[in-house]
Amino acid sequence: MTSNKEENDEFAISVESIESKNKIASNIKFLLVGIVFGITFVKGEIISWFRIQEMFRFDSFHMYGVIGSATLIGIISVFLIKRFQIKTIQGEEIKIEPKEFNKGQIYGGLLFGFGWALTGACPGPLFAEVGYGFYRCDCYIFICRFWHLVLWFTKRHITPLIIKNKNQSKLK
Amino acid sequence: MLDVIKQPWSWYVVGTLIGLTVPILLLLGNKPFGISSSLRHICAACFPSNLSYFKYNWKKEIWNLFFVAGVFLGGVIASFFLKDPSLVATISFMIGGILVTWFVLPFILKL
Repeated sequence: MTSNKEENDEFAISVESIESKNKIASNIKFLLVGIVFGITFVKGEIISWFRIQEMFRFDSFHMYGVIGSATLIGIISVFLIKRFQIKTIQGEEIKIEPKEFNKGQIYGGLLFGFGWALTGACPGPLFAEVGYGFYRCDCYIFICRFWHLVLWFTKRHITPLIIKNKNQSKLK
Repeated sequence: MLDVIKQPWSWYVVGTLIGLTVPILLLLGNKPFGISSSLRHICAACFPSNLSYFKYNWKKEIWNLFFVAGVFLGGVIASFFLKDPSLVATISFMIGGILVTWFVLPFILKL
């Protein structure tokens, strides 16, 4: 009985290791797509904050062209996939989950826009920028780490104090 | 040929390539295109901080981190082979690389 259990455990471990190996193997293709995508970002000058400033000042058509044509091609291709019910290479049906609207998205969108205009970068090109060697980006990471530290510190040391004070005033 | 690649590309080429990644990701593995959520996954993996927003199985979304790592590598390739790097650039992408491996290494070890 015990030996059987041990075998089962071994089996479970081997299945897990195979799964993790498959995970890496099946994710390599996304890495490759990402590489092409990153090169596109660099060569399209989307990583340049200057291009983004230019866009927000309505000085150039470049970014509008990029975003517009990308959206158009995305719409057309998704429409075609839905129309002809094209399947993935594993033979799965393609499911596109409908996105639900909530009010937070408006505020989130506004915040995103502020960040986009202030820093001249959005999350996608940010990674390509780090790879390309824009020093600015590393500064972002340092700033983010700094704010994370501040948040952590307030949560750890200051919030308990506030809660304590509140409770004490309630008791009085 | 390489000279053409080395010049900045025009907007319709870039737009087409970005637009095409949407169906490519859908066809390769039923993945919805998105990069911003990778930041969420990184937070969930590195410092969940007991926030409900970060409490989910981020390992299911590991493809997104691979994709983002690819974008980073694409930047490195573009800077190494498709332009001539200056000293400042070389040093700064070394720092960038160290930072990113610092952030990416935990995922690889946890795999």
